[in-house]
Amino acid sequence: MFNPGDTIQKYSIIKELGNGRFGTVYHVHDAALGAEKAIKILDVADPAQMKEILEAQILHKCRHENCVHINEADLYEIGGTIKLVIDMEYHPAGSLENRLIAGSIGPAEIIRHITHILYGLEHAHNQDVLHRDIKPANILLSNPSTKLSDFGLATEGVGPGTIGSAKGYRTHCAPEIFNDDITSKLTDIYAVGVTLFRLINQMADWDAVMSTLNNPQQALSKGSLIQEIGFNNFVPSKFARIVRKACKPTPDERYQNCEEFRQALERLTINLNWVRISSNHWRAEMADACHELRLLSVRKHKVEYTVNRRKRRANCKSFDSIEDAQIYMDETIAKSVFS
Amino acid sequence: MKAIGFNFAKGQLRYTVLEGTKGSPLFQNKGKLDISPDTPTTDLMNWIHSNVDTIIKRVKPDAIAARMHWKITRQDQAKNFLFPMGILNLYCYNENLPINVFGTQAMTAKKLGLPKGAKPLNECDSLIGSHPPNWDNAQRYSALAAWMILPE
Repeated sequence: MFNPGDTIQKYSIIKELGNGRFGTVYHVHDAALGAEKAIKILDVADPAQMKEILEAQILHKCRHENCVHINEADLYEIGGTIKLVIDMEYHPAGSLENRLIAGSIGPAEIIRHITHILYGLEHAHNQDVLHRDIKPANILLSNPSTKLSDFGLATEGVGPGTIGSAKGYRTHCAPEIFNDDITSKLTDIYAVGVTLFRLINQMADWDAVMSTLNNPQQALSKGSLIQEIGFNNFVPSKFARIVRKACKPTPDERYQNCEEFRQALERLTINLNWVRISSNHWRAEMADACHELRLLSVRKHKVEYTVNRRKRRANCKSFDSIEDAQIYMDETIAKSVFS
Repeated sequence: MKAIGFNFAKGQLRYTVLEGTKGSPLFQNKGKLDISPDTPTTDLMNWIHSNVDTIIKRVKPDAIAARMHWKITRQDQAKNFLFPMGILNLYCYNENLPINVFGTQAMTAKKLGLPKGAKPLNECDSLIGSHPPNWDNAQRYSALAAWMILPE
């Protein structure tokens, strides 16, 4: 554990970015290059075997625009123990999970993030590497590219159809991981599907969503997680269809590779890029017009649709109950996102 | 020798992989990738680059060819047909890969080792075979581009 201001050779710690079972990641200043970096510090259990170095080697092997870049990996003796320091590029914008918590993400941005991740994952798969831990927290935002990070659970040497051992963030795990104790390229695709599901539903507090399930473990092992949680009414059917296919309980029925999955997203044509401003207000800023939907509750519950602040009467409606008004607003959004 | 031919169209990328010789081209693989035709130019260029990179790293061809569209009269045609050629050429430069570009008129019977008077597009299926789905003229042009760079 290091604190801001501590130094490890050329690195001075700025802040901790995250930690897990396999090490801690810090934002640091590299005095030699005068640059900001992210370093992951791992304890080396057995210096003779150096199993921990595998993560660095996999990152190097998976060098791609949509995978986080490794600069170097080195061993340091710190406090009498050998530590592995993996030196990586630093992305100040943080993770997709933080982005989701910070505010609503529009469909165009969601498609961009997920297709980028699928390019990175496809490259990893082409190198016979499984990531095995895809989730919003392991996706880093960087203009213009989105990058897959944290290859701590990744495994290599998996040819077509071969499998790795069961690993990964439990709620993003495909049913065969629980039932057959295996991971494959298709379990990575399932995990991307769950990530997409969280984004399109704007589910920032995933733990809270999971806590609504009576028997989450059963839902996970049956592969019925998506079905049991369900989609919000504002989710376009085309998005929902893509998630359902990516998260099919039977692996053979899923997208069979990253290209198929991203092509399904790339073929979508955005009509109105709706972004939720608040629970009662959505906005779609397009090149030629700003569309807004507001739910106003004065005497009646009224949904007001404006284009450049002028009412579009055909889409404005009043309702006796707020629930009906909410459903109308959500359905208006769901139907108009894609052409 | 493994040759890959590309053909770009509006919201589409076609490629065909051939091996063998000009006299007996052997079909290996093909692909059709789509993107929304309304994609902004910058995003489209990134899409072209990402897919060219993914395909070439997967196929590992010895040589690359592309069909060039010469009749560009509108701005959207430049974006869909011409700009991708710039991306592809720059990619080949960076990766030190050989690339040849052919207009439709350059893909002649003589250059493909076909009898005089034969129409390459018509002869494509008899020599390379038919490989549905999406085995249309746009796909055949990508095959012809690859065929053009096969050895004699």
